[in-house]
Amino acid sequence: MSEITIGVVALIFLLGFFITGIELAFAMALVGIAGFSIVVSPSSAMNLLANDFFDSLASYGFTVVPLFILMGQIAFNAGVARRLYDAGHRFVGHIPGGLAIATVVGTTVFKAICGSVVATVATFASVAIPEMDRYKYSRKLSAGIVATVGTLGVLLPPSVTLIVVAIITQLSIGRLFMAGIVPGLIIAFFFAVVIIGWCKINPEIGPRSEKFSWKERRASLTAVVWPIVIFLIIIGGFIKGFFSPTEAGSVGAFAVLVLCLVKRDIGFKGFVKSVEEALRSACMVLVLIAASTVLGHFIAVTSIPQVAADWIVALPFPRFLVMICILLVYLIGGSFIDDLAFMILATPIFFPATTKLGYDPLWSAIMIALTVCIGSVIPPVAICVFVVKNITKTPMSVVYAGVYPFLTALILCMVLIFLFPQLVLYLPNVAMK
Amino acid sequence: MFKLSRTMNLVGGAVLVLMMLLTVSDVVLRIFWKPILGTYEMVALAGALVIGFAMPKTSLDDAHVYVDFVVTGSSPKVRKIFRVITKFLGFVLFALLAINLILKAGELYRADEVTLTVHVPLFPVAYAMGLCSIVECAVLLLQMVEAARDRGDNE
Repeated sequence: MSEITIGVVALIFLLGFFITGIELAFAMALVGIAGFSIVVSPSSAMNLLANDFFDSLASYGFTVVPLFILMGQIAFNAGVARRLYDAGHRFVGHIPGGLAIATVVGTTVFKAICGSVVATVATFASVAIPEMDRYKYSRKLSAGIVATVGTLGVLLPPSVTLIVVAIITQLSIGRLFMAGIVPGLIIAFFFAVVIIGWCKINPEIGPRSEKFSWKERRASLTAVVWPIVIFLIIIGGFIKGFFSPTEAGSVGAFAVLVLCLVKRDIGFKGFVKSVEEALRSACMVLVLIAASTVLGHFIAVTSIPQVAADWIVALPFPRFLVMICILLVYLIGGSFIDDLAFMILATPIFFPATTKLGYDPLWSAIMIALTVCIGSVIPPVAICVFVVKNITKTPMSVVYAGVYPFLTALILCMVLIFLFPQLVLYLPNVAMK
Repeated sequence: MFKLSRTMNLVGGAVLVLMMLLTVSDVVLRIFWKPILGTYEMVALAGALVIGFAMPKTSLDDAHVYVDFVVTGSSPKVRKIFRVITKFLGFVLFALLAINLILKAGELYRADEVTLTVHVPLFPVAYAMGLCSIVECAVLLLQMVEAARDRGDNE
């Protein structure tokens, strides 16, 4: 059997292995060492296992992951999101669908300091939905927007997904963060347009709430200012080359912690909880990356990435069609396996092909991230929908019915970026020449 | 096992906080005086300890990513068989990892491998990761036994 055949068989086996309920990271590492044992030798495979885990976990580049997650968890447990939502409520709550728009505004700003999609969705599910219930919003709208708005967490920096993409593709984290800003803001804008349009068609789904005075509005602005200041420090540090990503994560986490302590938003228990939650998420992500490194080395010795790239480039179709097919693979794969895990698995295989097709690596990475966004809200593995369902006890069918209008916004954004790559590339090219 | 995992998690958390403080101190001192020598390499090694110490608790909490929509739809007996087998395979993986990390630590010790700037020896970190993998093995074994004993009363 040729090395490529072994590799292809192993990958097919791996996909079957995933649905047994085994931890995806464990499956990747096991298939990686089994395959490497067959192609090279068992003793080399054992060395590979230890070396890949040690080198991945003891890598300075990967320390960025727990630190950015810690920053988000501190903000999450300090109740920053509630105040951001409150500020949004005071400014736009009086217009039809205003509380749903406030959710979009609050999430967009909260995202400046929280990189976790699940934490963002969980926060707004418990903060925004009860408030929208109070003003008799339709659950379709409230649950739909909260489940979908977390997708902004994938694109707007500091996104853990973008950090992982940057690590896998060896792109600059700073440039990728910059590249995600415009698509993230476009999606936020489209979400607001969908809400307004939906409420115009059916005003009963999002009634007006009370109008606040400008004095009350100004008073809520302090909640918005400091996350933006911290965000600017982190991103500014990247642009000027003053911080490494790990330093930015550390400074950001420290700044959020100090501010929350000064404002007495978080106590010792809250801090310990934040650290524990950060550890759990970081461990999940990094063990996945370490295991994918083992699998990646096996895949590399089978030459699959090169062969796949050559084969994909030689396909007799226009390159945009090939790119759409690649994204569909991500969408379908990510719908059945966890999106982040599928991205970690598939990117080493498909990313070289997108570069060979002549697409800008930054653009390809953002398109992949955007596909992951969409995957996180479509069945059967839709983590954001599950979170909303579990927290608010809303039937799955109602959440999905609310998600679909916003899904069109995500797809529209994808089409725009496909047609105008400058939407992704302009900011990193201007800010980080 | 829960206590041990929780204690290890707390140690991992303390290392994470120290990592953050060290990096922030380095940034501040770099601005006002001079950087702390070897910060990058100490943070990198600390990163390995953070994840190593967090592994058992993460597994105990079932916080790793897995696909369960197929298994969830099957009968309790099939679910039980799958859980026992998958936990056993996880145990095998971490047993291999533990053995090879400890062997690697021995190699690092004999070769006197240290970090480039402040010459921190690498072998203690590899040993620590190996020991964490042993605890992870124990957690997975415990989960396997629990799954095997489960009579499906709470189905």
